[in-house]
Amino acid sequence: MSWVKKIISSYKEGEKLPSEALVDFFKRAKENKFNSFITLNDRVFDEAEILDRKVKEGKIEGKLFGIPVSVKDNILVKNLRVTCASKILENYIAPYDATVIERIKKEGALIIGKTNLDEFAMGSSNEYSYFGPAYNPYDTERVPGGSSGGSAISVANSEAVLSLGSDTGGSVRLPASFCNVYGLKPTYGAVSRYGLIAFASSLDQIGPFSKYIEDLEIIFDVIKGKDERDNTSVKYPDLKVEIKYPLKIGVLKDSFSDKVEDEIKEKLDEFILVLEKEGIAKFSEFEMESFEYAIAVYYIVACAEASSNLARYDGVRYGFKKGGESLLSMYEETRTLGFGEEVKRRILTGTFVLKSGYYEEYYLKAQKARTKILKEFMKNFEKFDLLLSPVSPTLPFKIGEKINDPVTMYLSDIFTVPVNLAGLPAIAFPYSFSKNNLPIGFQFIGKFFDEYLFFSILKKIENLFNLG
Amino acid sequence: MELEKEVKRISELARIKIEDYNYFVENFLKILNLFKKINELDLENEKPFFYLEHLKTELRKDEDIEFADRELLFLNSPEKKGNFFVAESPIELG
Repeated sequence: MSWVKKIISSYKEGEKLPSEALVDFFKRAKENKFNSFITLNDRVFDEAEILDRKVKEGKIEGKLFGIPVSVKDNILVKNLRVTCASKILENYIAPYDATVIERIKKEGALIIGKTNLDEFAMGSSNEYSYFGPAYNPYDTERVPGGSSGGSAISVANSEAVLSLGSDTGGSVRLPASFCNVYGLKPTYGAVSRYGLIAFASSLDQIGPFSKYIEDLEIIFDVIKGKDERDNTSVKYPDLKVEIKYPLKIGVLKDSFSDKVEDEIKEKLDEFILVLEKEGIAKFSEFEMESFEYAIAVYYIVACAEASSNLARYDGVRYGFKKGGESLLSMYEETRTLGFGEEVKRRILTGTFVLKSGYYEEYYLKAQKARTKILKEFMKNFEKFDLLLSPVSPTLPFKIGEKINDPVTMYLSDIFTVPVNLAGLPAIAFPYSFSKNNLPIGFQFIGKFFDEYLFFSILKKIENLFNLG
Repeated sequence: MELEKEVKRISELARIKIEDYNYFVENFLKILNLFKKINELDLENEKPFFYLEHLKTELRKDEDIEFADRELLFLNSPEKKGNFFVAESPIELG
Protein backbone atom coordinates (compact mmCIF):
# COMPACT_ATOMS: atom_id res chain seq x y z
CA MET A 1 0.00 0.00 0.00
CA SER A 2 1.25 3.45 -0.86
CA TRP A 3 -0.56 6.57 0.30
CA VAL A 4 1.62 8.68 -1.99
CA LYS A 5 0.66 6.66 -5.08
CA LYS A 6 -3.01 6.71 -4.06
CA ILE A 7 -3.03 10.52 -3.84
CA ILE A 8 -1.16 10.98 -7.13
CA SER A 9 -3.53 8.52 -8.76
CA SER A 10 -6.51 10.60 -7.54
CA TYR A 11 -4.98 13.60 -9.38
CA LYS A 12 -4.51 11.50 -12.53
CA GLU A 13 -8.08 10.20 -12.39
CA GLY A 14 -9.39 13.75 -12.04
CA GLU A 15 -10.95 13.01 -8.65
CA LYS A 16 -9.14 15.80 -6.83
CA LEU A 17 -6.76 18.72 -7.30
CA PRO A 18 -3.68 19.17 -5.08
CA SER A 19 -5.19 22.27 -3.40
CA GLU A 20 -8.32 20.25 -2.58
CA ALA A 21 -6.33 17.31 -1.22
CA LEU A 22 -4.35 19.73 0.93
CA VAL A 23 -7.38 21.15 2.77
CA ASP A 24 -7.88 18.37 5.31
CA PHE A 25 -4.16 17.97 6.02
CA PHE A 26 -3.76 21.72 6.55
CA LYS A 27 -6.86 21.87 8.73
CA ARG A 28 -5.50 19.21 11.08
CA ALA A 29 -2.06 20.86 11.08
CA LYS A 30 -3.58 24.26 11.90
CA GLU A 31 -5.69 22.76 14.66
CA ASN A 32 -2.33 21.64 16.14
CA LYS A 33 -4.03 19.39 18.66
CA PHE A 34 -0.77 17.74 19.72
CA ASN A 35 1.49 20.82 19.32
CA SER A 36 3.26 19.15 16.43
CA PHE A 37 3.84 22.32 14.39
CA ILE A 38 5.88 25.41 15.22
CA THR A 39 5.28 27.23 11.92
CA LEU A 40 2.79 26.61 9.12
CA ASN A 41 3.64 27.45 5.54
CA ASP A 42 1.01 30.06 4.70
CA ARG A 43 2.08 30.03 1.04
CA VAL A 44 1.38 26.32 0.60
CA PHE A 45 -2.01 26.89 -1.07
CA ASP A 46 -0.41 29.23 -3.64
CA GLU A 47 2.12 26.48 -4.34
CA ALA A 48 -0.71 23.92 -4.61
CA GLU A 49 -2.54 26.11 -7.12
CA ILE A 50 0.50 26.00 -9.41
CA LEU A 51 0.22 22.21 -9.27
CA ASP A 52 -3.55 22.43 -9.88
CA ARG A 53 -2.78 24.12 -13.20
CA LYS A 54 -0.32 21.36 -14.06
CA VAL A 55 -2.96 18.72 -13.35
CA LYS A 56 -5.35 20.51 -15.70
CA GLU A 57 -2.63 20.56 -18.36
CA GLY A 58 -2.02 16.85 -17.81
CA LYS A 59 1.51 17.49 -16.56
CA ILE A 60 1.61 15.38 -13.41
CA GLU A 61 5.33 14.86 -13.02
CA GLY A 62 7.34 14.06 -9.93
CA LYS A 63 7.50 11.26 -7.38
CA LEU A 64 5.98 13.51 -4.71
CA PHE A 65 3.61 15.52 -6.90
CA GLY A 66 1.11 17.32 -4.64
CA ILE A 67 2.09 15.31 -1.55
CA PRO A 68 1.89 17.23 1.77
CA VAL A 69 5.20 16.90 3.61
CA SER A 70 6.12 18.32 7.02
CA VAL A 71 9.69 19.22 7.92
CA LYS A 72 11.44 19.21 11.29
CA ASP A 73 12.24 22.75 12.34
CA ASN A 74 16.00 22.29 12.18
CA ILE A 75 16.00 21.86 8.37
CA LEU A 76 16.11 25.00 6.24
CA VAL A 77 13.19 25.84 3.95
CA LYS A 78 13.87 29.11 2.15
CA ASN A 79 11.84 32.09 3.42
CA LEU A 80 10.29 30.05 6.23
CA ARG A 81 11.20 30.56 9.88
CA VAL A 82 13.58 27.91 11.26
CA THR A 83 13.75 28.01 15.04
CA CYS A 84 15.34 24.74 16.16
CA ALA A 85 12.70 25.10 18.91
CA SER A 86 15.01 27.62 20.55
CA LYS A 87 14.58 31.18 21.73
CA ILE A 88 17.99 31.96 20.21
CA LEU A 89 16.60 31.35 16.68
CA GLU A 90 13.00 32.35 17.37
CA ASN A 91 12.79 34.74 14.43
CA TYR A 92 15.41 33.32 12.06
CA ILE A 93 14.29 33.17 8.42
CA ALA A 94 16.07 30.53 6.32
CA PRO A 95 17.97 32.22 3.47
CA TYR A 96 18.22 29.05 1.37
CA ASP A 97 16.78 25.55 0.95
CA ALA A 98 18.47 22.49 2.43
CA THR A 99 19.46 19.97 -0.26
CA VAL A 100 16.71 17.56 0.85
CA ILE A 101 14.17 20.38 0.47
CA GLU A 102 15.44 21.27 -3.02
CA ARG A 103 15.06 17.61 -3.97
CA ILE A 104 11.54 17.09 -2.60
CA LYS A 105 10.35 20.42 -4.06
CA LYS A 106 11.70 19.36 -7.46
CA GLU A 107 9.51 16.25 -7.23
CA GLY A 108 6.43 18.35 -6.48
CA ALA A 109 6.16 18.05 -2.68
CA LEU A 110 4.03 20.61 -0.83
CA ILE A 111 5.70 21.72 2.39
CA ILE A 112 2.93 22.15 4.90
CA GLY A 113 5.01 23.48 7.79
CA LYS A 114 7.80 23.09 10.31
CA THR A 115 7.47 20.60 13.12
CA ASN A 116 8.21 20.71 16.84
CA LEU A 117 11.37 19.15 18.31
CA ASP A 118 13.56 19.17 21.37
CA GLU A 119 15.67 22.33 21.26
CA PHE A 120 18.49 21.83 18.73
CA ALA A 121 17.40 18.16 18.50
CA MET A 122 18.76 17.51 22.01
CA GLY A 123 16.29 15.25 23.75
CA SER A 124 14.29 12.05 23.64
CA SER A 125 10.83 13.31 24.59
CA ASN A 126 10.12 16.59 22.77
CA GLU A 127 9.73 18.24 26.18
CA TYR A 128 12.75 20.51 25.72
CA SER A 129 11.08 22.80 23.19
CA TYR A 130 10.89 26.58 23.63
CA PHE A 131 7.42 26.28 22.02
CA GLY A 132 6.13 23.79 24.58
CA PRO A 133 6.04 20.01 24.61
CA ALA A 134 4.34 17.97 21.90
CA TYR A 135 1.81 15.33 22.95
CA ASN A 136 1.56 11.67 22.02
CA PRO A 137 -1.53 11.20 19.83
CA TYR A 138 -2.27 7.85 21.52
CA ASP A 139 -2.24 9.36 25.03
CA THR A 140 -1.83 13.10 25.45
CA GLU A 141 -0.43 12.70 28.95
CA ARG A 142 2.56 10.97 27.41
CA VAL A 143 5.50 12.09 25.28
CA PRO A 144 5.65 11.45 21.53
CA GLY A 145 9.39 10.72 21.75
CA GLY A 146 12.13 12.99 20.53
CA SER A 147 13.72 14.80 19.22
CA SER A 148 11.65 14.69 16.00
CA GLY A 149 8.38 14.35 17.96
CA GLY A 150 6.42 16.83 15.82
CA SER A 151 7.36 15.03 12.61
CA ALA A 152 6.20 11.65 13.92
CA ILE A 153 2.92 13.12 15.21
CA SER A 154 2.24 14.96 11.95
CA VAL A 155 2.36 11.66 10.05
CA ALA A 156 0.51 9.64 12.72
CA ASN A 157 -2.29 12.22 12.88
CA SER A 158 -2.48 12.67 9.07
CA GLU A 159 -1.33 16.29 9.21
CA ALA A 160 1.14 15.30 6.48
CA VAL A 161 1.69 12.19 4.36
CA LEU A 162 5.44 12.22 4.90
CA SER A 163 7.85 14.06 7.13
CA LEU A 164 11.56 14.74 7.32
CA GLY A 165 13.35 14.61 10.66
CA SER A 166 16.91 14.17 11.82
CA ASP A 167 18.47 11.30 13.77
CA THR A 168 21.62 11.95 15.83
CA GLY A 169 21.10 9.26 18.47
CA GLY A 170 17.62 7.91 17.72
CA SER A 171 15.68 11.11 17.08
CA VAL A 172 13.78 9.67 14.11
CA ARG A 173 13.39 6.11 15.37
CA LEU A 174 12.25 6.79 18.94
CA PRO A 175 9.34 9.12 18.03
CA ALA A 176 8.42 6.86 15.11
CA SER A 177 8.12 3.98 17.55
CA PHE A 178 6.18 6.01 20.16
CA CYS A 179 3.73 7.28 17.50
CA ASN A 180 3.22 4.04 15.52
CA VAL A 181 4.85 5.08 12.23
CA TYR A 182 7.94 4.13 10.23
CA GLY A 183 11.17 6.10 10.71
CA LEU A 184 14.43 5.63 8.84
CA LYS A 185 17.92 6.56 9.99
CA PRO A 186 19.95 6.27 6.78
CA THR A 187 23.57 5.19 6.44
CA TYR A 188 25.84 8.09 7.42
CA GLY A 189 26.56 9.97 4.19
CA ALA A 190 23.57 8.58 2.27
CA VAL A 191 21.63 11.85 2.65
CA SER A 192 23.12 15.34 2.42
CA ARG A 193 23.24 17.35 5.64
CA TYR A 194 23.50 20.66 3.79
CA GLY A 195 20.89 22.92 5.35
CA LEU A 196 20.42 20.78 8.46
CA ILE A 197 21.31 22.88 11.50
CA ALA A 198 24.21 21.00 13.06
CA PHE A 199 24.03 19.33 16.46
CA ALA A 200 26.73 16.62 16.28
CA SER A 201 28.05 16.52 12.74
CA SER A 202 29.63 13.06 12.80
CA LEU A 203 26.32 11.53 13.94
CA ASP A 204 23.55 13.68 12.36
CA GLN A 205 21.53 12.23 9.47
CA ILE A 206 18.26 13.43 7.95
CA GLY A 207 15.64 10.67 7.88
CA PRO A 208 12.02 10.33 6.72
CA PHE A 209 8.77 9.23 8.43
CA SER A 210 5.76 7.54 6.81
CA LYS A 211 2.70 5.45 7.61
CA TYR A 212 3.50 2.89 4.90
CA ILE A 213 6.82 1.33 4.02
CA GLU A 214 6.47 1.90 0.28
CA ASP A 215 6.16 5.65 0.88
CA LEU A 216 9.35 5.65 2.94
CA GLU A 217 11.13 4.10 -0.05
CA ILE A 218 9.67 6.73 -2.39
CA ILE A 219 10.94 9.68 -0.35
CA PHE A 220 14.30 8.01 0.36
CA ASP A 221 14.75 7.58 -3.42
CA VAL A 222 14.31 11.33 -3.75
CA ILE A 223 16.54 12.58 -0.93
CA LYS A 224 19.48 10.14 -1.06
CA GLY A 225 22.75 10.66 -2.91
CA LYS A 226 25.83 12.78 -3.34
CA ASP A 227 25.68 16.53 -2.81
CA GLU A 228 28.84 18.48 -3.43
CA ARG A 229 27.85 20.95 -0.71
CA ASP A 230 28.18 18.21 1.92
CA ASN A 231 31.57 16.56 1.68
CA THR A 232 30.45 13.66 3.85
CA SER A 233 27.67 12.72 1.43
CA VAL A 234 28.23 9.85 -1.01
CA LYS A 235 26.91 8.59 -4.31
CA TYR A 236 24.44 5.92 -3.25
CA PRO A 237 25.68 2.59 -4.63
CA ASP A 238 23.60 0.83 -7.25
CA LEU A 239 23.03 -2.37 -5.30
CA LYS A 240 20.60 -5.07 -6.30
CA VAL A 241 18.68 -6.51 -3.39
CA GLU A 242 18.39 -10.25 -3.76
CA ILE A 243 16.84 -11.74 -0.67
CA LYS A 244 17.12 -15.39 0.17
CA TYR A 245 14.48 -16.34 2.70
CA PRO A 246 14.71 -17.21 5.48
CA LEU A 247 16.94 -14.28 6.41
CA LYS A 248 19.42 -14.75 9.23
CA ILE A 249 18.52 -12.19 11.87
CA GLY A 250 20.41 -11.57 15.10
CA VAL A 251 18.40 -10.47 18.12
CA LEU A 252 20.29 -8.33 20.60
CA LYS A 253 20.43 -10.28 23.87
CA ASP A 254 19.85 -7.10 25.88
CA SER A 255 16.39 -6.85 24.25
CA PHE A 256 15.25 -9.31 26.91
CA SER A 257 17.07 -7.78 29.89
CA ASP A 258 15.39 -6.50 33.08
CA LYS A 259 15.71 -2.95 31.78
CA VAL A 260 13.14 -3.66 29.06
CA GLU A 261 9.43 -3.52 29.92
CA ASP A 262 7.67 -6.89 29.91
CA GLU A 263 5.04 -6.02 27.31
CA ILE A 264 7.78 -5.07 24.83
CA LYS A 265 9.61 -8.36 25.43
CA GLU A 266 6.38 -10.34 25.00
CA LYS A 267 5.59 -8.65 21.69
CA LEU A 268 9.16 -9.16 20.48
CA ASP A 269 8.89 -12.86 21.25
CA GLU A 270 5.60 -13.04 19.38
CA PHE A 271 7.06 -11.19 16.35
CA ILE A 272 10.02 -13.58 16.19
CA LEU A 273 7.79 -16.65 16.40
CA VAL A 274 5.52 -15.50 13.57
CA LEU A 275 8.41 -14.62 11.26
CA GLU A 276 10.01 -18.00 11.90
CA LYS A 277 6.72 -19.79 11.32
CA GLU A 278 6.20 -17.94 8.03
CA GLY A 279 9.72 -18.84 6.88
CA ILE A 280 10.72 -15.16 6.60
CA ALA A 281 13.61 -15.34 9.06
CA LYS A 282 15.62 -17.48 11.42
CA PHE A 283 16.65 -15.80 14.63
CA SER A 284 19.59 -16.25 17.00
CA GLU A 285 20.70 -14.07 19.87
CA PHE A 286 23.85 -12.00 19.67
CA GLU A 287 25.78 -10.02 22.26
CA MET A 288 27.79 -6.83 22.05
CA GLU A 289 30.26 -6.18 24.83
CA SER A 290 30.35 -2.47 24.10
CA PHE A 291 26.56 -2.11 23.98
CA GLU A 292 26.17 -1.12 27.62
CA TYR A 293 28.89 1.53 27.24
CA ALA A 294 27.39 3.07 24.11
CA ILE A 295 25.28 5.63 25.99
CA ALA A 296 28.38 7.02 27.70
CA VAL A 297 30.35 7.05 24.44
CA TYR A 298 27.48 8.72 22.58
CA TYR A 299 26.95 11.51 25.11
CA ILE A 300 30.67 12.29 25.29
CA VAL A 301 30.97 12.55 21.49
CA ALA A 302 27.63 14.31 20.94
CA CYS A 303 28.17 16.89 23.71
CA ALA A 304 31.71 17.60 22.49
CA GLU A 305 30.50 18.23 18.94
CA ALA A 306 27.52 20.25 20.17
CA SER A 307 29.73 22.55 22.23
CA SER A 308 31.71 23.31 19.09
CA ASN A 309 28.75 23.57 16.67
CA LEU A 310 26.72 25.83 18.94
CA ALA A 311 29.59 28.26 19.53
CA ARG A 312 28.29 30.19 16.49
CA TYR A 313 25.25 31.46 18.40
CA ASP A 314 26.70 34.63 19.83
CA GLY A 315 24.10 37.30 19.04
CA VAL A 316 26.20 39.07 16.39
CA ARG A 317 25.18 37.77 12.97
CA TYR A 318 21.75 36.32 13.65
CA GLY A 319 19.29 35.29 16.27
CA PHE A 320 18.41 36.54 19.72
CA LYS A 321 20.70 39.16 21.23
CA LYS A 322 20.96 40.55 24.73
CA GLY A 323 23.30 43.49 24.87
CA GLY A 324 25.97 43.81 27.53
CA GLU A 325 28.61 46.34 28.46
CA SER A 326 31.31 44.51 26.52
CA LEU A 327 31.54 41.94 23.74
CA LEU A 328 32.16 39.14 26.24
CA SER A 329 29.27 40.05 28.51
CA MET A 330 27.03 40.31 25.43
CA TYR A 331 28.02 36.78 24.38
CA GLU A 332 27.35 35.49 27.88
CA GLU A 333 23.99 37.22 28.33
CA THR A 334 22.83 36.16 24.86
CA ARG A 335 23.76 32.51 25.28
CA THR A 336 22.54 32.24 28.88
CA LEU A 337 19.12 33.67 28.06
CA GLY A 338 18.87 32.29 24.51
CA PHE A 339 19.51 28.60 25.15
CA GLY A 340 17.31 26.28 27.22
CA GLU A 341 18.42 24.15 30.14
CA GLU A 342 19.29 20.90 28.32
CA VAL A 343 21.20 22.65 25.54
CA LYS A 344 23.26 24.59 28.09
CA ARG A 345 23.94 21.38 30.03
CA ARG A 346 25.22 19.65 26.89
CA ILE A 347 27.36 22.61 25.79
CA LEU A 348 28.93 22.81 29.26
CA THR A 349 29.46 19.02 29.38
CA GLY A 350 31.02 19.10 25.91
CA THR A 351 33.28 21.97 26.91
CA PHE A 352 34.40 19.91 29.90
CA VAL A 353 35.23 16.71 27.97
CA LEU A 354 37.26 18.67 25.41
CA LYS A 355 39.07 20.72 28.01
CA SER A 356 42.79 20.32 28.43
CA GLY A 357 43.44 17.67 31.07
CA TYR A 358 40.18 15.80 30.40
CA TYR A 359 40.38 15.27 26.63
CA GLU A 360 42.35 12.01 26.93
CA GLU A 361 40.24 10.75 29.79
CA TYR A 362 36.91 11.24 28.05
CA TYR A 363 36.89 12.27 24.39
CA LEU A 364 39.84 10.21 23.17
CA LYS A 365 38.62 7.11 25.01
CA ALA A 366 35.14 7.62 23.58
CA GLN A 367 36.52 7.78 20.05
CA LYS A 368 38.42 4.53 20.64
CA ALA A 369 35.28 2.92 22.03
CA ARG A 370 33.46 4.06 18.90
CA THR A 371 35.89 2.05 16.78
CA LYS A 372 35.25 -0.95 19.00
CA ILE A 373 31.48 -0.60 18.59
CA LEU A 374 31.79 -0.47 14.78
CA LYS A 375 34.06 -3.56 14.80
CA GLU A 376 31.60 -5.47 16.96
CA PHE A 377 28.75 -4.63 14.61
CA MET A 378 30.74 -5.73 11.56
CA LYS A 379 31.69 -8.98 13.27
CA ASN A 380 28.01 -9.72 13.85
CA PHE A 381 27.20 -8.96 10.21
CA GLU A 382 29.51 -11.84 9.24
CA LYS A 383 26.85 -14.10 10.78
CA PHE A 384 23.62 -12.18 10.23
CA ASP A 385 21.81 -10.38 7.41
CA LEU A 386 20.08 -8.01 9.82
CA LEU A 387 19.98 -7.23 13.52
CA LEU A 388 16.81 -6.72 15.55
CA SER A 389 16.03 -4.95 18.82
CA PRO A 390 13.31 -2.85 20.43
CA VAL A 391 13.55 0.87 19.68
CA SER A 392 13.02 1.84 23.29
CA PRO A 393 13.27 -0.09 26.56
CA THR A 394 10.00 1.51 27.69
CA LEU A 395 6.57 2.37 26.37
CA PRO A 396 5.95 6.11 25.77
CA PHE A 397 6.46 7.63 29.21
CA LYS A 398 4.50 10.36 30.98
CA ILE A 399 5.28 14.02 30.37
CA GLY A 400 7.49 15.25 33.22
CA GLU A 401 8.45 11.72 34.32
CA LYS A 402 12.12 11.92 33.35
CA ILE A 403 12.71 15.62 32.81
CA ASN A 404 14.51 16.30 36.10
CA ASP A 405 16.97 13.46 35.70
CA PRO A 406 19.04 13.78 32.52
CA VAL A 407 20.74 10.40 32.91
CA THR A 408 17.40 8.56 33.14
CA MET A 409 16.27 10.46 30.04
CA TYR A 410 19.52 9.55 28.21
CA LEU A 411 18.87 5.85 28.88
CA SER A 412 15.78 6.05 26.62
CA ASP A 413 18.29 6.00 23.75
CA ILE A 414 20.04 2.80 24.81
CA PHE A 415 18.99 0.81 21.72
CA THR A 416 19.37 3.62 19.20
CA VAL A 417 22.70 5.37 19.84
CA PRO A 418 25.07 2.48 18.92
CA VAL A 419 23.79 2.72 15.31
CA ASN A 420 24.72 6.41 15.01
CA LEU A 421 28.14 5.84 16.55
CA ALA A 422 28.85 3.23 13.86
CA GLY A 423 27.25 5.21 11.00
CA LEU A 424 24.96 2.28 10.13
CA PRO A 425 21.41 2.45 8.80
CA ALA A 426 18.44 1.43 10.96
CA ILE A 427 14.70 1.52 10.61
CA ALA A 428 11.97 1.74 13.23
CA PHE A 429 8.75 0.02 12.27
CA PRO A 430 5.37 -0.15 14.00
CA TYR A 431 4.36 -3.56 15.25
CA SER A 432 1.72 -3.65 17.94
CA PHE A 433 0.14 -2.02 20.99
CA SER A 434 0.34 -2.49 24.74
CA LYS A 435 -2.71 -3.33 26.86
CA ASN A 436 -3.17 0.42 27.35
CA ASN A 437 -3.12 1.05 23.59
CA LEU A 438 0.40 2.48 23.50
CA PRO A 439 2.45 1.78 20.36
CA ILE A 440 5.28 -0.76 20.40
CA GLY A 441 7.86 -0.62 17.63
CA PHE A 442 11.05 -2.49 16.80
CA GLN A 443 14.11 -1.69 14.74
CA PHE A 444 16.18 -3.47 12.14
CA ILE A 445 19.85 -2.53 11.94
CA GLY A 446 21.66 -3.19 8.67
CA LYS A 447 25.09 -2.98 7.10
CA PHE A 448 26.05 0.20 5.26
CA PHE A 449 23.57 0.89 2.43
CA ASP A 450 21.08 -1.81 3.48
CA GLU A 451 18.13 0.59 3.21
CA TYR A 452 16.58 -1.33 0.29
CA LEU A 453 16.86 -4.59 2.19
CA PHE A 454 14.80 -2.93 4.96
CA PHE A 455 12.18 -1.84 2.44
CA SER A 456 11.92 -5.32 0.91
CA ILE A 457 11.53 -7.28 4.12
CA LEU A 458 9.20 -4.71 5.68
CA LYS A 459 6.85 -4.80 2.69
CA LYS A 460 6.48 -8.49 3.37
CA ILE A 461 6.03 -7.90 7.10
CA GLU A 462 3.57 -5.03 6.53
CA ASN A 463 1.37 -7.35 4.47
CA LEU A 464 1.69 -10.18 6.93
CA PHE A 465 0.70 -8.18 10.00
CA ASN A 466 -1.45 -5.61 8.20
CA LEU A 467 0.70 -2.80 9.61
CA GLY A 468 0.58 0.91 8.80
CA MET B 1 36.59 23.32 45.81
CA GLU B 2 38.29 21.72 42.81
CA LEU B 3 34.89 21.00 41.23
CA GLU B 4 33.74 24.56 41.84
CA LYS B 5 36.86 25.82 40.05
CA GLU B 6 36.28 23.48 37.08
CA VAL B 7 32.63 24.42 36.75
CA LYS B 8 33.51 28.11 36.84
CA ARG B 9 36.14 27.55 34.13
CA ILE B 10 33.85 25.66 31.74
CA SER B 11 31.19 28.30 32.26
CA GLU B 12 33.73 30.96 31.19
CA LEU B 13 34.90 28.91 28.20
CA ALA B 14 31.36 28.20 26.99
CA ARG B 15 30.23 31.79 27.62
CA ILE B 16 27.26 30.51 29.58
CA LYS B 17 26.36 31.59 33.12
CA ILE B 18 25.31 28.83 35.49
CA GLU B 19 22.30 30.25 37.26
CA ASP B 20 21.50 27.45 39.73
CA TYR B 21 24.89 26.07 40.71
CA ASN B 22 23.65 23.27 43.00
CA TYR B 23 21.11 21.94 40.50
CA PHE B 24 23.67 22.01 37.70
CA VAL B 25 26.36 20.25 39.76
CA GLU B 26 23.96 17.55 40.96
CA ASN B 27 23.14 16.56 37.37
CA PHE B 28 26.65 17.18 36.06
CA LEU B 29 28.08 14.69 38.56
CA LYS B 30 25.51 12.09 37.52
CA ILE B 31 26.56 12.57 33.88
CA LEU B 32 30.28 12.30 34.69
CA ASN B 33 29.54 9.16 36.65
CA LEU B 34 27.84 7.70 33.56
CA PHE B 35 30.84 8.70 31.43
CA LYS B 36 33.26 6.88 33.76
CA LYS B 37 31.75 3.59 32.58
CA ILE B 38 33.97 3.67 29.51
CA ASN B 39 36.96 3.06 31.78
CA GLU B 40 35.70 -0.53 32.12
CA LEU B 41 36.26 -1.15 28.39
CA ASP B 42 39.53 -2.59 27.17
CA LEU B 43 40.64 -0.01 24.60
CA GLU B 44 44.34 -0.79 24.69
CA ASN B 45 44.60 -1.79 21.02
CA GLU B 46 41.88 0.42 19.57
CA LYS B 47 42.53 3.39 17.33
CA PRO B 48 40.32 6.47 17.67
CA PHE B 49 37.39 6.56 15.28
CA PHE B 50 38.29 8.86 12.44
CA TYR B 51 36.09 8.31 9.42
CA LEU B 52 33.97 5.66 7.74
CA GLU B 53 35.53 3.76 4.87
CA HIS B 54 32.74 4.47 2.43
CA LEU B 55 33.27 8.21 2.79
CA LYS B 56 35.73 9.42 0.18
CA THR B 57 36.77 13.02 0.31
CA GLU B 58 36.23 14.61 -3.06
CA LEU B 59 37.10 18.25 -3.31
CA ARG B 60 34.88 20.44 -5.42
CA LYS B 61 36.28 23.10 -7.72
CA ASP B 62 37.58 26.14 -5.90
CA GLU B 63 35.48 28.80 -7.56
CA ASP B 64 33.52 31.85 -6.54
CA ILE B 65 29.77 31.37 -6.35
CA GLU B 66 27.71 34.49 -6.01
CA PHE B 67 25.22 34.30 -3.16
CA ALA B 68 22.12 36.05 -4.41
CA ASP B 69 20.32 36.45 -1.11
CA ARG B 70 22.61 38.80 0.81
CA GLU B 71 19.60 40.83 1.93
CA LEU B 72 18.01 37.75 3.50
CA LEU B 73 21.17 37.13 5.52
CA PHE B 74 21.14 40.67 6.88
CA LEU B 75 17.44 40.41 7.70
CA ASN B 76 18.42 37.91 10.39
CA SER B 77 20.98 40.20 11.96
CA PRO B 78 20.00 41.68 15.34
CA GLU B 79 21.94 44.88 14.54
CA LYS B 80 23.50 46.06 11.29
CA LYS B 81 25.01 49.14 9.69
CA GLY B 82 25.21 49.13 5.90
CA ASN B 83 26.86 45.87 4.92
CA PHE B 84 28.27 45.22 8.39
CA PHE B 85 27.09 43.44 11.51
CA VAL B 86 27.28 45.57 14.63
CA ALA B 87 28.74 44.16 17.85
CA GLU B 88 29.94 45.58 21.17
CA SER B 89 33.55 46.64 21.40
CA PRO B 90 35.99 43.85 22.24
CA ILE B 91 38.00 46.36 24.28
CA GLU B 92 37.02 46.40 27.93
CA LEU B 93 36.95 49.90 29.39
CA GLY B 94 37.98 50.74 32.89
